[in-house]
Amino acid sequence: MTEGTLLREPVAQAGTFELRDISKRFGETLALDRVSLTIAPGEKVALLGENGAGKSTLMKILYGFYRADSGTIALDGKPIVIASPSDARALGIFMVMQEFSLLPELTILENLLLFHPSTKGAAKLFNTVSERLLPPESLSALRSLLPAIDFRKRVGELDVGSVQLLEIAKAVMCAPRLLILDEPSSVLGEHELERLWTYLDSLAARGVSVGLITHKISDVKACANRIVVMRKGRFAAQFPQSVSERELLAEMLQTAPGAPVADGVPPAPGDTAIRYRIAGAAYGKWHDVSLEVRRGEMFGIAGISGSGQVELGQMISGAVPLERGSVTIDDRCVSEAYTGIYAEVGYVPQNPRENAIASAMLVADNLVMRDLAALPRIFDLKTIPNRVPEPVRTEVTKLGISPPRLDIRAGGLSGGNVQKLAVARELAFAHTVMVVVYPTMGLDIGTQARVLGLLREEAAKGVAVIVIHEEIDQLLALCDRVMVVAHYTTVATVASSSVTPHEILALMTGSGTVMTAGGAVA
Amino acid sequence: MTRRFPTGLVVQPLALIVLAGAFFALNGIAPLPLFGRMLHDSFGGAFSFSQTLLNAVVIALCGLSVALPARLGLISVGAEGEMVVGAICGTGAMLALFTAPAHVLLPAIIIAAMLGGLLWGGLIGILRAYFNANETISSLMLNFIAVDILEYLINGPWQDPTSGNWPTSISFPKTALPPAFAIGAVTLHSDILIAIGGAAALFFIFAYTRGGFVVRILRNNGRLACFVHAIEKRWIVGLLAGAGVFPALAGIYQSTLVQGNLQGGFYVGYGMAGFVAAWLARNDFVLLLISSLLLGGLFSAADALQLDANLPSSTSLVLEAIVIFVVLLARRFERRNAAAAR
Repeated sequence: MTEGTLLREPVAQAGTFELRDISKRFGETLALDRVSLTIAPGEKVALLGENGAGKSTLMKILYGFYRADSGTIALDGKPIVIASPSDARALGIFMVMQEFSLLPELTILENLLLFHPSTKGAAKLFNTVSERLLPPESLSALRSLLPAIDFRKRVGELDVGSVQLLEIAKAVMCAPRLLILDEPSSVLGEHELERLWTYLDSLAARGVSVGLITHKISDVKACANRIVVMRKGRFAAQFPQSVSERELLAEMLQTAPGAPVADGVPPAPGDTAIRYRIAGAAYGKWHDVSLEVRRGEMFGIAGISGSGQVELGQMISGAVPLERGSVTIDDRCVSEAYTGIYAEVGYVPQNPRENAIASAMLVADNLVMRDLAALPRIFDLKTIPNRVPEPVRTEVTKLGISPPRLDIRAGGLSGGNVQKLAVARELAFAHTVMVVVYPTMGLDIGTQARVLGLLREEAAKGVAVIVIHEEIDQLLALCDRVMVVAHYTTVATVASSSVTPHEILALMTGSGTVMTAGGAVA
Repeated sequence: MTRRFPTGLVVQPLALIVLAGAFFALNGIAPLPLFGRMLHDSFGGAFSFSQTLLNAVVIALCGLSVALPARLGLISVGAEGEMVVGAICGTGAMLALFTAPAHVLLPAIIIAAMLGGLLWGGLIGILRAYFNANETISSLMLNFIAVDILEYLINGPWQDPTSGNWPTSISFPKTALPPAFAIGAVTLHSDILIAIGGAAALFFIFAYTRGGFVVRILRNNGRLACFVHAIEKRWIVGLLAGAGVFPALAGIYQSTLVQGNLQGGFYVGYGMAGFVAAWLARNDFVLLLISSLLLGGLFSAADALQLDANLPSSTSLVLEAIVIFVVLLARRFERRNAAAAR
């Protein structure tokens, strides 16, 4: 147990990590092409780039998750070999991945103690868990990241933002020299992000280095000392924190020329005929939800994370059967004989890799599964890549999924491309309603603009688009009306044109007054 | 990727021979001549090969009941109970229709056995799908229940009054026996066709049908059920129920053609061997037939060990364990190599 003994003492001396000429190939794709990067003690380096630029791959090599095909890694000038994540952890390198590692069935405290290097074997064996077993510095880390945490709650009951922060706290407990965070902001709300940035500052002040993988310019501006832009597996440019957002944007967008950037003008609602109506719906903690979305309307749902908006998305789309209430399209009730997602509805849930995609199956399998009736009863399953219908192929092309192949495993795609895959598939099946939860999570800004553009096109075609989102600015720019939810109740529905982001935020946190301009009070 | 020589093909049998040899040597028997006898008694002649095939078919039918639910990620160890229930239900049909002609009695027995297996497997599925009971544990416990019902019946209401208090049912009449046939000097029971046909049909379903595609999706990510409009609970019950049919048939074949009546103990070891066979074949229906043949040979050889070397018949369990151990080690190395290649 070298890991445990090494880490029992917090690593006092910091170190300079150096990656030299790292290359990595996955099959035919060259994921990294002779990339070099140095991270000094106490430095916060942001890796910025589009999906598939190689940011995660580079950091996963440093973390021992992948091995480089060529190139060297050095610590304080001395070459080191990192063959596995446990090697990396022994050197003080900790990485918080996009996929979570905590055990949902255990409580927060049990999880932390399970992974904490100083937990004695007896405590693990006899499950004598108590907060006292956590060292004071770990507790303070937890308190600064998650002030209102209840240690006895099961991790499975937490919202995704809290789990992300808990993952970070878990890594910090092990006294890292270098902490790598992979797209932490994709699931965090504004307040949670604030706390994270403050905490990373304090870590850096103590000499801990931070590697931040992100595609959001706001993240790098808020957090990094140094910004490294990657493009197509190569080092593209490097900037100090003082660089302007515009300059960064230009650097990043070079690969996506002509990509439309959201212009902030809400489209006019088309036909005013009521299309999609949910009345008195109940499921789980939701008791009585009613909403109406018109044909061609873009309807937003906002709330701080864990307010029930994820479950609401499931109820609206038919991912779960309603316990009470009904869903009607025009005057047809579609919620009566429940078999799954309602006909004519497209649904992209949060975290598509877990909730919408079969990772071990091919991209083509994932595309055709939505319309099984279109497949013959008896056919060779190996021929599925040739059976993807044309409209679906078109959506895939429009979104630019990379690599652009249907016969590879869906799980091998990067996080952003998995999101694109789910969006493309559902767009092809959304004939009346499209429900999207966190549509831009994990996407670079070029693709974000493309996805939002496609949603608008859908609306323009007469589809009612329902967007559940935490980025208020985007939501207001995109939607005609926004419904605010808090604690599993609807707070208000307002017209986007008559409200400011600040007012929405106030409604979300319960400190605002309810405005009714242009919308019905819920 | 460069193709490497599969060293496992040499190393695994070698490790198997060394470990089994060590086990025999520890028992004070020279291993090499014994290996010769074992080979002879399992694959060496028409009689021994018949025995091997008869064992292999039962193992394969039990293996199918493991491999089928495994397509949905379910781990059932209920083959033994399903065998017993199949035999019970078939015997029940025989007792009820004892005087009926063969063309009524035999189909009735077979259908009753199949229904028994279907319900018993379905029970495991219902417990899993609707009561959230772990299917591995409930199938294991249902094995004991099935055996208890069997013991009750053959010691009580179904006991043959002329048996001298021996716990068996009356013998199956000739009209109740499923067909058996011979190829040359090798005797075969018609359940070999069920095993081969079943494996082929399942292979076809999972490679060539929409239903197979749905199961693959659900196996991969249960949360996709709402996207494909599949009701996962029904698939769980359906697959486990269907899986129960195969061992049930094996059970009634054992009672009718091997034992001649319903008695205790005819099922011992087959459920476990079927599980091992499915595991060796990685739940592939076609490979399952081959792994069953190997384990069937092991069973025959173990009988020989009992006679030739005075080793107890449970030696076959030790040999089975050695096989599992070797394959486990091999798979571990495989995984490590795969990880290193990444």
